[in-house]
Amino acid sequence: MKQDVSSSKILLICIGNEFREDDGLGIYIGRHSKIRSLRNLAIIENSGDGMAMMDAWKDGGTVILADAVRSGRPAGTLFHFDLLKDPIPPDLFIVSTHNIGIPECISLSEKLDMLPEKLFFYGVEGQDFGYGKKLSPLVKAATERLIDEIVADVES
Amino acid sequence: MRSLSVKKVNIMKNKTLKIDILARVEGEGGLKLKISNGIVKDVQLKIYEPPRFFEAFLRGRDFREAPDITSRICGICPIAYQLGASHAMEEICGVKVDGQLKALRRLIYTGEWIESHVLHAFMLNAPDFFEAGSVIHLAQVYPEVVKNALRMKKAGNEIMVVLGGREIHPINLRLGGFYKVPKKRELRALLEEIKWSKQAAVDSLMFISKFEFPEFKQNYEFLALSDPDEYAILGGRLVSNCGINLPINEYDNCLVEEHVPHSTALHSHLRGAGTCLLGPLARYNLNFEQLTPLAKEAAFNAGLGRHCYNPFKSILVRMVEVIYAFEEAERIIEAYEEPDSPAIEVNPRAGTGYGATEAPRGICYHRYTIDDNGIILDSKIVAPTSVNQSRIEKDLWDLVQANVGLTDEKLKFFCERAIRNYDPCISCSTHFLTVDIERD
Repeated sequence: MKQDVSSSKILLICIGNEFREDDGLGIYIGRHSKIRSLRNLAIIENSGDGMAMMDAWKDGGTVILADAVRSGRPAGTLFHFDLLKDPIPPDLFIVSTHNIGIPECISLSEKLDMLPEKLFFYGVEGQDFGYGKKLSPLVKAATERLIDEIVADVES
Repeated sequence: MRSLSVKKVNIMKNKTLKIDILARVEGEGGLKLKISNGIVKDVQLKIYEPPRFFEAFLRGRDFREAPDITSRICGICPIAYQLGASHAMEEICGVKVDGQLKALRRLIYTGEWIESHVLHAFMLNAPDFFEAGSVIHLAQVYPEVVKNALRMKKAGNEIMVVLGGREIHPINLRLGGFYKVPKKRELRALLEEIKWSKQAAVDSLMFISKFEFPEFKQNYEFLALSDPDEYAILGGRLVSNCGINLPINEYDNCLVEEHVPHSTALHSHLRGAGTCLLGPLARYNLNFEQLTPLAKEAAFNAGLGRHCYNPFKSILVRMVEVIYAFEEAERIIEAYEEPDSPAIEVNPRAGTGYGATEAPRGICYHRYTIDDNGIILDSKIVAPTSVNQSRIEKDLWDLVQANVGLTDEKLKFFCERAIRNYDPCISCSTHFLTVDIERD
């Protein structure tokens, strides 16, 4: 689903742990040559620190979050949300090893008037969250498709 | 964010209440309470995070790897592990890190204290005083207070970034010092925000001092490091208010570890003398005189006396330590001169060494034995939560007994608050929470 992310200045926040297999797909996206070649795109990596995420997006503009999802849906499922407009499925961000996750960061930022103008989420349902640096084949293929979608949305 | 799910189970005359996961603590664990005829019969703080085996997989590794491997024990207090390991290895190899390199180590540690204390005080602990459930509700009522907290925490993060390369699991610390030391101008660039944060910490302490604190005092044996020259962070002697005064290499003769069936974390307690308390309350009570005049004045203005035995007021003490940490950061930066070398060379030699520093939650102890080639033969690491576990159980025992007439829901909430007083780091100690109350 196409997202209206076009902007003169976009921040891509790549969330994940590159040492926990598919949990690293957000980091994989941020380091991909197709993403790195985009102009008007600033990229930062985030290990899941919610407050650092809020601090990064408080300066406004358009912000894209890229992260792995573990919702029980089929591995490789792609997710696209306008986090400020679309209802977030209640089962999408339940599991978090960090006390302040994405929904909490959005709620807290809203209360503190720290939300950016636009905030989008791009994600892939992961399969393997064990130890290691490789994305599982099915998830890697889906992540490549998601990268193409991010590139198309940013360039449109 | 973990949700609090409540399950009631009736078994004959016994009533069991469960909270499957304790919210707003670092890690996962549970609590079981057994009450019979209004008398508390058992309290078990259950830590079920899997054991992490760090001590085992350090064996056979090069001694230079210990700081970076052990820093992975915790994302909140990696400096405690990096410096505990470094101190132990340096002791073995006959190296003493002093001067500006030691000052830089103290500076990055202030960053860790600020990050950890501000996170706990405002994001995890403060909502308890409003029965609000989360910092989001707190932000709705007091947005400026939460904004200031986020800014203070960021100032701590920045210290970590400039000195450590990044705020979580810093990569710039090594045996003998650092891989690279900052330029004077890089540190001085932090000063404006540190000075703003110091005043914000004083104001935040005054805000928190107006909270309503439960009346609850305990006769603690406080245990902390003590340094004649400064408020101990980087090291010192093992000191308590009940007569302990030992060098750190006597730690194993002072505290013993015990495996209890209900916890994957070893319980550590005083040999033959029971529980003790580590962390901010212990440091404040034992080392108060070494706080700065501003930190002391702020403590008194917040209603803290020279001593504090109420664990619910530990949030105040944490903020006093935040003020102190910002002052220390300012002092160190203003006195900073770039050292000639970023590190002292550390060459291996066989031996056993000890390292202990004051992590945000209390003494973090390391002991290593290495051979002539620097290969680690043996290691022992004791996280502060391992020592505080049995003290938390004792607090809960007395708290539940004094409030046994409360409804189960209120009692569970009170217990969770009492546990959060300690800011327990379960991930560290497993190396933890469901609340389970059984009455008959």
